[in-house]
Amino acid sequence: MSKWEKFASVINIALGVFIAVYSYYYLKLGIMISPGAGFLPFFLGIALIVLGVLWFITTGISRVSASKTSEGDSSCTCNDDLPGETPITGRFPRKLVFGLILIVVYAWLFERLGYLLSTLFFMLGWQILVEREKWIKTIAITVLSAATMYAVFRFLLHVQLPACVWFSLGGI
Amino acid sequence: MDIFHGLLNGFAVALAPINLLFAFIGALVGTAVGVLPGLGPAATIALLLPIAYTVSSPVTAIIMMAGIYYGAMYGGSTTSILLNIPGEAASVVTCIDGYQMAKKGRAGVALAIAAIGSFIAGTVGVIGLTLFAPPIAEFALSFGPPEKFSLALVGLLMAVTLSGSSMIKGLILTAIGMLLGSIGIDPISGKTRFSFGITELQSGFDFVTLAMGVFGLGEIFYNLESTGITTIVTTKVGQVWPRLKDWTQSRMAILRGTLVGFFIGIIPGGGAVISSFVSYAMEKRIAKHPEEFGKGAIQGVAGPESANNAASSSSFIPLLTLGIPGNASIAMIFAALLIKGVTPGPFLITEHPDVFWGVIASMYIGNVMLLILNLPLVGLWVQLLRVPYGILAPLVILFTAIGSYSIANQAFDIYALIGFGIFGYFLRKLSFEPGPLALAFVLAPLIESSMRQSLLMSGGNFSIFVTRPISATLISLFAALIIGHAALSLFKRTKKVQI
Repeated sequence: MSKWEKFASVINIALGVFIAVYSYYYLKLGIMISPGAGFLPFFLGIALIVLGVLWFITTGISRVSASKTSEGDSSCTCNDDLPGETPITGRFPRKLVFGLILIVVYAWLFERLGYLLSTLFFMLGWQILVEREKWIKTIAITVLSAATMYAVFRFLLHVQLPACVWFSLGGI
Repeated sequence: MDIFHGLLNGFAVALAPINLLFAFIGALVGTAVGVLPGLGPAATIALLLPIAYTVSSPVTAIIMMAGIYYGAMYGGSTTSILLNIPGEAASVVTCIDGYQMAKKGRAGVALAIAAIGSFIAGTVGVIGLTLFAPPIAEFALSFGPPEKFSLALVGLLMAVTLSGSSMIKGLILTAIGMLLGSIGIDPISGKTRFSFGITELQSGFDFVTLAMGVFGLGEIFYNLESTGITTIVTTKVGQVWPRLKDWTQSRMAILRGTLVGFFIGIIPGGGAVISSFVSYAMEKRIAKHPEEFGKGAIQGVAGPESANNAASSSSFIPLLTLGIPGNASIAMIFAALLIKGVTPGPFLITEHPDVFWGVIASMYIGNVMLLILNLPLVGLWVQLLRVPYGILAPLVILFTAIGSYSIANQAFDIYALIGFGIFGYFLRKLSFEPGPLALAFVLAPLIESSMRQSLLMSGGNFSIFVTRPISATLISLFAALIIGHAALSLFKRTKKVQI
């Protein structure tokens, strides 16, 4: 995890620098008696820089102490990754990648295709690509899920769902 | 209005059929989600926040949210005892002895003592809330902007210090949460902050989208990586009612757990998780036979379960009286109150007595409902675990996506939700505890406005925060906590090096 933590801490520092500069030059700090829109964000940006540096340093320290521990204990099977239950490896599981792609596509289709078609597409895609279910089960889960969600949002919560712009299925 | 009359009026509100129904729905959903591993109370409340928009009455909405919160605390023990899988973080210690009791065929007794302990602690916690909340709210009426600023900042930082494993990471999330909370039009200067020309960002991010993304979607993404989440090992529940010996052994543990949980729950960042661990450690230390702990000691179930339920009741005290949420779940309820146009804080009791007393009264009723739901229906809750994650996960995603869309009827919110979900996923991967993000986001407007008002009052002099007695006391208390925390860490590190 050390490599990823260091990478994240550098991003954190960069974010802090951007916020501090943006707040100082664009939002303006104002005067002490009447702080401007950039006053609090500026100090938060500075805080992010300081904390990012501390994070970077402490990650290095914990890595050194962990390697010392592993040297002293031959039975330890420690690897490069320190904290975290399932550390970042740089390779993301198939389920997660397909799941993420499906949600982004769903967001893109939601207003274009309307609730019904986009939800059917999402559930169908999920069962085929993520879960790899059999066809009959896939269709049953897809139809039931779309209908249940429609009932919950439309009738119980009275939410106006987007209609299909092509077919205009009366609110569906 | 005195406490007695306030509570009577509260019962009149809570016993209205619609409020009873929503208290029941909240308790039911909370228990169900507490049983399901993978979604904690904060994630559940986050997922159900859009309902707060559709329920017309604020009392009804908050009664339901509170029901979900303490329902999840009850439900979390079921999987800890039967499957050795904690439903939520506060039930982690229950696994130790609860599962051992189940393996010895005493699952029913463990579940019963957890439910009875939770009921007693929950009820005592609500009595404490009833008695302590009004005087604290009255005291807080004298707070001006400097006191509000110090209280909000100190409360937030205490929550960060006590709740997470790494203070640096907690503080980073606090800063990011406050920055996210500052996006949009600055109420004083009218300048738009961090919107970068995106129209939808001019009004800032909605808390519901942030909470559903980081807590709900982030958790789903994280769980998609884990294998074996659908593995179910059912254990027979066996005899449910405890014997006289069980009761004798656990009654003092329940009492101690209740007291520990109640007082830890009041402290921002204290909450259910810490109190359950403290209670377990205390029970083990004072037990006549500490060697029985870890092998099925009933006190190891009774104490922590009582503590986490007492803490979940008492954590409403800072919210309802000072307007300071002490943990992520309470921050969700704070947001739900704001959505309904009710500002939590010292004025709540006078401006919205129906909400204040109605919620407290509903907790008494909710505790009884939960006892009924948990003991006879335990078999039903175990069956819930048979719902495959392959169905549950996409349903939760759909719920969050449509829920966030429904806030302003714009697809932008779904993209924002996905962004927060990815952010929440990486937070978990990098061992961040996401609670401070939500707390900082909801407290950012209060902290900023009270800071600006204070500086205006003092002519731009920062010493106003340390020269006014209440504000100075709060800051001193926090400084003492930080020094104590640092000294303890140093002591532990030195001890480790010596070993």
